Amino acid sequence: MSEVSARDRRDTSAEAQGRAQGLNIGWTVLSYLLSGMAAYGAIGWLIGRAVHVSMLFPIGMLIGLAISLGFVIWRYGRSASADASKDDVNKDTETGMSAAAIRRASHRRGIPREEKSR
Amino acid sequence: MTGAVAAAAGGGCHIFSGCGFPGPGLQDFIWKPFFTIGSFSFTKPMLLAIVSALVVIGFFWAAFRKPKLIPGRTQSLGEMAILQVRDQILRPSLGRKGDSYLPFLVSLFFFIYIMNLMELIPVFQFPVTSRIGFVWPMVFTVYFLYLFLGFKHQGVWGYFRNMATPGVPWPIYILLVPLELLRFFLFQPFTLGVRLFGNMFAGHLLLTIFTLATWYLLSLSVGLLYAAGSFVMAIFIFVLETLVTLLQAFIFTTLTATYIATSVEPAH
Repeated sequence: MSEVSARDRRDTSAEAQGRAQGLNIGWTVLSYLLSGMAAYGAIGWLIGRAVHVSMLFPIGMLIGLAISLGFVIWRYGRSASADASKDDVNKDTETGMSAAAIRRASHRRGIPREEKSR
Repeated sequence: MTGAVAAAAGGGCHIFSGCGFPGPGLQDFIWKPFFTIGSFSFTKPMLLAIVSALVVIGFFWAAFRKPKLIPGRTQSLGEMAILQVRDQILRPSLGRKGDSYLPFLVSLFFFIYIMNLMELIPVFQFPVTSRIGFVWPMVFTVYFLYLFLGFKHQGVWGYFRNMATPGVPWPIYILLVPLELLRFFLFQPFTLGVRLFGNMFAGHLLLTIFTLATWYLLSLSVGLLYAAGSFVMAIFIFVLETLVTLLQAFIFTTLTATYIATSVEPAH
């Protein structure tokens, strides 16, 4: 009983940790997109003002958006694919399945994770 | 109050009386002052903010005034509240090392929560955080705290250096410098405040629209059917807002904890 409650506690803690990370990443991504547009929009506006080309302001914003989008994909897309490849490294030696695949298969069959590993 | 709610409450403005729907707007967030001293006016949102602070102080004072080994009901409730903030907000971001920030995060969470909850309490019926002037001081407190902690733990140069994402090729760094600076110093605090304000503002506006529409459509005609529909929507928004009030306090405090974590430990 105490083992179960300890496991539950660990799960809740991992869940809370994932939630906090997810929240942080979500708002960080939004901040990146806004700051990309604002920073390069401002640079474009300043240059446009100096050379009397008003189009440089929207062009700067678009470039900023592209840079921030590219960076967000590079940073967070990479961490997601790294997790996936890490998961592949932890493949089960008997079945050749990754840990995630075993979890999915167990879930489909309705077998709890711990029983399956035993 | 100076807006549509006051107009509707003042008389029998209904669908076929020819007065038109008194749609709520910004004017419903402006209150007549209770009293004025010079250029300072004391309004309802200020009173509600003070009441919220007193509720938080009063509750925790009552809970932990004389703490016992076998806790009473109030102490148990207080302990549960603190443990929830610790386990759901503080520990996931800061770990055990962050326990010293628990009093700050508990106060922040419950202060925001009670201010939001004022929207749903009869007589009060106004979320304090839907006035952005009450949100910015909290945002600035958090902002200066995480800047201070960042400079203290990493040093000024270290703090700026650690803003950069590791593994980025150096020519890309040049492109990212304005982005990172703006994000850290402007948009991070901006989104923190605007999200809380925007959600509470929109929620209050929706609740006012459907409540007013119920009253406006109420008549012995087909309007009664529409009034019933609007009433159901008002109840739905009310239930939704009970979740939103809690969620917004939770998000604000969780993000505060993650920002503190980033300042204390750059690798976070």
